[in-house]
Amino acid sequence: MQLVYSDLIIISLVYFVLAAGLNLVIGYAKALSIHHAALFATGAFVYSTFGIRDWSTDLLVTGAVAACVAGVLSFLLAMGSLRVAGDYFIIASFAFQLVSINLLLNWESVSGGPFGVFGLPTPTVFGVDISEPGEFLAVAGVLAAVTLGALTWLGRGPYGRLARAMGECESAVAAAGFSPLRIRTGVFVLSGVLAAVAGVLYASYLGIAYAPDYGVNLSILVAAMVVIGGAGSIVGSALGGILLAFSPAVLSTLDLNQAQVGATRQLFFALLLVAVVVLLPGGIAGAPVTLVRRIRARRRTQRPPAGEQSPVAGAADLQEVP
Amino acid sequence: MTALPVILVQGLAFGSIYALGALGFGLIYTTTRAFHIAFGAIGVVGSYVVVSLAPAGSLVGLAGAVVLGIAAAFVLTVLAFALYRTVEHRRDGRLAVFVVSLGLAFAIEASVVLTLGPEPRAFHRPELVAQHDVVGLPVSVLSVAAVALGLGGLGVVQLLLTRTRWGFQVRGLASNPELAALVGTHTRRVLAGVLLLASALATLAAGLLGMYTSVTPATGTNLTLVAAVAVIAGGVGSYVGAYLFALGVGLLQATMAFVLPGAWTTIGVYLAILLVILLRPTGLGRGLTVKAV
Repeated sequence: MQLVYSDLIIISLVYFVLAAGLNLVIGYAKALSIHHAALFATGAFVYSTFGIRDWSTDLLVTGAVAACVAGVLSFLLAMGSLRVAGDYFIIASFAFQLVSINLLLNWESVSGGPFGVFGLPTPTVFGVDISEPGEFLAVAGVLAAVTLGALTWLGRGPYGRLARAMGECESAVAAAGFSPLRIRTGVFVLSGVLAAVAGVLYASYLGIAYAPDYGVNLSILVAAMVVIGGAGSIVGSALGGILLAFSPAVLSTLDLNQAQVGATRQLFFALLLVAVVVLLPGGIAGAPVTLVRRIRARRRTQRPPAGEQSPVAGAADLQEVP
Repeated sequence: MTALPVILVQGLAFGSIYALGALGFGLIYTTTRAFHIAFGAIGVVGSYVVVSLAPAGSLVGLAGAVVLGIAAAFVLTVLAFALYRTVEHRRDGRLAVFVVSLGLAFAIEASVVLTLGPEPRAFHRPELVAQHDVVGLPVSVLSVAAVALGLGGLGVVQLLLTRTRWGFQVRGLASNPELAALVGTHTRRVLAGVLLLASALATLAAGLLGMYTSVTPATGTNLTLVAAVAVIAGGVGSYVGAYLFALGVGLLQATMAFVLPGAWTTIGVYLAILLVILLRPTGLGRGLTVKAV
């Protein structure tokens, strides 16, 4: 039982890093990215390639290489597609994800094709073997803590404020003399780097790099996690990561076959995603704020202040005309 | 030298099927600006309904099944738009519509897997795909029908939009919804027509795809993707542009299927799509330019 819990916690931490990276894109830059699984896969297959060929099993070395590859890919994708409207970006993102997954499924010398690469060597950090669950837990914990610290620091600093402002009103940021394209590209590269580093840890922990795991579905699940947890909130990403990591364990208690487990999880998160966007715009992390605001709004409508009409309410009335 | 006729027939047939999807997606996108990701998934549901209800050998039965399939797709589309409507007025409304649409597509796909299984389904009729030699081209009834339906679909959409009162109102709604409402357009009724036509086109495209090759629950996403690319790269608002771009994708796919081994076709096609978006984002055809939102 001990082993199973440590397993879930390690996977939660990996998913947290993955979700926190995507949160930068969805929560800050307000773009919907569907290629996060492809960047995650970059990390996994850099590790498998380096490990199988005896180049290196050091997490720092493979992590750095994976970060560079994913960073360059994100940079190219951002430069090409972020200049244009959000609708292009989603298509480019989709196409990139589909190209990547089909490439991995067919490029057998690197990815093992649909069978994956098995029996990866145990990773090392500074020459120390990482093989026990406790050691993996420590590495994942350090990675998650560094991510949390860095993103919190960045989010509160000038760069984070700019990134958030850009999501709200791009022209205002441009008018203030900053380049929205440069900020966006930075956000995307950082997000890609985090995904790749998480991928290295994930593959080295499982000992497998299995291409079918990194399809569109994973991308959408991670995006769902970010939104369900609360877009723009690092606490939300953590909640989302935990939810995603624990869901297979919960579903495996039901009597379902392999395909049904996947589809049930997909259906559950898809419906939860729609419900959260419609009913709880701030996600689970923002739920207290949303609820308080809603209760206040209801009180205000029940007891309208005498002789005074809110301009905001008037504007809302105008919009209601069909 | 036998390659060229095969590529031509296959390419035009597939391109025409994609074009039907592009016309439907384009109607919705141009009119409402909603990026309706669930479009393809809804079409797949419609086509499953048609195939599971259609009795063998009865034309009336088939027509009834088609009506029911389109009705199912229409109900899902209306549900989707009811949800879009609740979130689209928010400050980050476009992102919210994206996410809701993605969630719906994902939910529909999962529901199909749970009820019917993840296996690919082929709606084959041997007599429809049997090849005949007509002036050197290896055509089948289905390929001719697909090309005819594609052209017919383009003609119907163009005629409806340019020659009827409803089409006039649709274009009004597309260019200025507030003004359209002010001059007395029943916006909901007009929108319902758009959604119905788009649902029918989605069902038709998915059904033809299933008759040609096979349909899996995941086919819907691919249909949406190709349709969306054709609409945007063909020039938003230009249905001819979208039609031609979809034909181009079909021809490209048929060519790649000939020169590349099996699964690399998909990679080639999506790579080409990715390159078009990255290098030529303003569209290949004329039409309205895309506004950055």
